[in-house]
Amino acid sequence: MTSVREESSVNSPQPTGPQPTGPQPSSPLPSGGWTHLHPLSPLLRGGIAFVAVVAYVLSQQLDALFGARPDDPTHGHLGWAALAVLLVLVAIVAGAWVSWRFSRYRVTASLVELRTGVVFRQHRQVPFDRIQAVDVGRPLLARLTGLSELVVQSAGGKDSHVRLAFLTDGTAQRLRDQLLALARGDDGAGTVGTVVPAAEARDVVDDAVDAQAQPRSQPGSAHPGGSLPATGGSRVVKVPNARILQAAAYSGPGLVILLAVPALAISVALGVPEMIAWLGPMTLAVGSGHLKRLTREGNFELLHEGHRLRVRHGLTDLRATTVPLHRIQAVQLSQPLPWRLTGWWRIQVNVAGAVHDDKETQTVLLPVGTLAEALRVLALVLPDVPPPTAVEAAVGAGTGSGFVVSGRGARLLDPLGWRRQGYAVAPGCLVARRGRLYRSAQFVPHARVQSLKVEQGPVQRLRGVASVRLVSTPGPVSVVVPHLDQDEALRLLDEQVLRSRHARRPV
Amino acid sequence: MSDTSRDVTADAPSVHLYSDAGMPWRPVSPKLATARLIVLTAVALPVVVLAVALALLAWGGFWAAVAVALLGLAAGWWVIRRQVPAITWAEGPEELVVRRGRLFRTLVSVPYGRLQFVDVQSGPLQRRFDLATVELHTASPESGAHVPGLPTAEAEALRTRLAARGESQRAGL
Repeated sequence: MTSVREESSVNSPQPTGPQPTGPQPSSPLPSGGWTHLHPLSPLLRGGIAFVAVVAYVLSQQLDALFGARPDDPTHGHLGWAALAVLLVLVAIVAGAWVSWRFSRYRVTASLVELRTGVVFRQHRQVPFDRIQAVDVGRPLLARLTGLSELVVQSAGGKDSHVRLAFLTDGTAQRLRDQLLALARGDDGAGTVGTVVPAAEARDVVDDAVDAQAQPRSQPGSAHPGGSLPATGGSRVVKVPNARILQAAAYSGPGLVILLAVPALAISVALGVPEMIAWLGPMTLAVGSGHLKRLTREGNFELLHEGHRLRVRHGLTDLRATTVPLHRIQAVQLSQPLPWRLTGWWRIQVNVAGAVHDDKETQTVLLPVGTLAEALRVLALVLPDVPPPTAVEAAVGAGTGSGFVVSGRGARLLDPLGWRRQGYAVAPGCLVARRGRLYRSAQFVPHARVQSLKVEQGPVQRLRGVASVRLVSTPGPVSVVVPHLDQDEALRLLDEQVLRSRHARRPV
Repeated sequence: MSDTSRDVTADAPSVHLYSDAGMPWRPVSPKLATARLIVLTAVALPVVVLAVALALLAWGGFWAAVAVALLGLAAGWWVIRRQVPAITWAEGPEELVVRRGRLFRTLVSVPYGRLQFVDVQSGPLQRRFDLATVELHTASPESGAHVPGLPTAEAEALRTRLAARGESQRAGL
């Protein structure tokens, strides 16, 4: 293992000065040396393939056992077939072993690093001051074996995450606590008093897991604070699974499925193959995407602790994600049309360093909740926004609560939304709202505006309107104030430049 | 030249970004239009030649294609001739502002404190004309502010200034 060190290609997203490649014996931390991941890791990572091969072999054997073998696929060469299967299994195990031998991680005085790969070597490191969040996740297979994966998120996006998959639950939790404690030293929010309690961090995943699966002993419970399970964050919102299910049915894809399934049943009953051929794949496609969202948002719970929000979610793959409040760049409340019936809202955020569609990054703070719950979450993220303004942003129209809306020139362009779409200046942030049918409202702290854009196409110029975009970091929230009167747009631009300038200054 | 930005005080009540007054607006090099026209012609001319060849050898209907291609070329010329002068940029006290477009107008204002890094790019053709593109990267790829067609020396100077200001005004994410 020492012999391969020198030719590994260094792929560090944030090079941090001179980094000695060898292990640092002087590291003050207990886990200073290189450590291997759990030996089962490669098999779990390639889990599906392995299970498939085993299941296939088993099913073949079962068939043979019961003598139900109308046509022997091996044409009598059962011995050879068995040998081939055995070889494949041996190859998989050998490959897994080699892969395990070559995957090592360590925590040094200033960074966490991971080396993987035999042929294409990768060396990834995340300096502590770049750590955005440390997440512990448990995919289904890992849950069955009592393992966890640890994802160290850094500001460089998905490609710069260090994913330690897999570790034993205890190790993962201990490492997570350790890294969070180390990262806090450079954390921008730097509230010294709010040490994320180790116990809370541990119980976040554990009590969720223990409720359903094996209770694993915690070798790391000697950690300070291990006896204080109640120190942790206060629960802000817990979304009942029934509501998530209902909300899913009340959405666009949900309605499609609700309509398509009976239609499918009827066409099956009547025997119309064309309809089945057409409806089946469509239902499957829409349904699977929707199901994925369901499993991801099931068991949703939002906790608040100090300057972090913690999100637990997942029906099968449990995840406990930390969203540091100061990393939130923009917030959005949205309400699809069917949710009007129940008065539900969804809250999404842009998080710094996150990449859109990156499943490790939590951008949903509330998958579905009442307006009161949504306002409670919003008050945590942006405590300075007065609730009346937030309500006005969510459901209002017209110029109440200091809102500036589209001019008459936008009437033709937005016959429905022109009285609603607009912006207001709240303490500390800009509030934008739009959408008559699909309502949404965005909140961006002045200091978080990345850049400002004014756009005007030929039709817009004809109508004397222009759109203003407050560019945020990548994420689900995009903040646009569409079709303001030209002069209003320029006024917003000028004033927002000054507001953002002043807001940035104290940093 | 950039020192004219001192005229705009940081505490002015309004900065009038879109109007011509108040900001030291600067055009990009007119040679950019030439470079772009060369690219356009290099792409369009083979199409025209091919269409003419087909019209002569295969089928007379291809003259329509020739006409379309020539029309497209002419339109491209016209657009480029109008577009390039419409690109103007200005260095404010705390932000770089780029305006572009005549039909579809946009204005981007990027605060120096938000700069992550600055790129200076120059392709082979641009190099022949001694031009370079300065691209400003913030934490969002959407920002997309770039100043094309600056003389190489000026681009380098701008990059240096931007880097220095970005450093002194850096704001945390």
